[in-house]
Amino acid sequence: MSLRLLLDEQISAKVADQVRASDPSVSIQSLHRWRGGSFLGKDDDLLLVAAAEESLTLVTYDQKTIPTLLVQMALLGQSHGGVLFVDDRTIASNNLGALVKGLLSLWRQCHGWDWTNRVMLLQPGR
Amino acid sequence: MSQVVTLRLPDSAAEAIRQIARREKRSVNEVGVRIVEEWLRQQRFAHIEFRSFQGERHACFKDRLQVWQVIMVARDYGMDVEKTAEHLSLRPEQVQSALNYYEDYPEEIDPVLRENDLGYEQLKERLPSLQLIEVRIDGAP
Repeated sequence: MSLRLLLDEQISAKVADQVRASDPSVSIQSLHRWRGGSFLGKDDDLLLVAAAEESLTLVTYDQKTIPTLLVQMALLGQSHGGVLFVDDRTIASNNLGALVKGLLSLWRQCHGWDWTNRVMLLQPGR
Repeated sequence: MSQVVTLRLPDSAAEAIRQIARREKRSVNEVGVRIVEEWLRQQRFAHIEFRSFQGERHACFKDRLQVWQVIMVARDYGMDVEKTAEHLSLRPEQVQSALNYYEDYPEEIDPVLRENDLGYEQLKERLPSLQLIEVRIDGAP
């Protein structure tokens, strides 16, 4: 299944809009609007399971909660649709332009990959 | 500092607290203190509630994200309420409530923010399958 991105709650919904405006072929949604925003504030384990049902890869700044959930899912033999971590120290959460460009760059490199159970950290290049 | 305060609870409330204590493997005292403390904070800070995440209690917005995540974004906006609210699709008064909470309880939020600053090496220790993907953020193809 090719890359389909779902932006976590702490990422501005504008990022999805700007990525799509730059390249309409990118599959990207914001949690603020996905399923009518019904997963805002929901537990992340429910979110990961629901995202996996639609083969969505979660893009998140949450390095505190998500890693533990991924370990638990692996122990239970549960699959997820992939997780892409972003580090606030390398791309600040308010630097929407950098995140948009980073996601476009990511898309160009690896939108054809199978993202099932893939876990990656976005690293801005020099 | 703390004080001993004796309360007389209805049987049902006392049993409910004992059940929570058994389930969480905590003392009745710990659970009782937490319930009172959280209730008092919820009265002081509009929009704030407490939920459990992986066995830890965290201050959250009602039906929305955890306070530490709001502060993470707010820091990047120089604690600007309006910009943070727009970013997170929250109302300014909700963000202000989070900032007020943080001002009163930095010792609760700051360690969580530090825990979120793992970086590649520490994240890799927790998730051995983690891979780095280098991307351009200067707009070059």
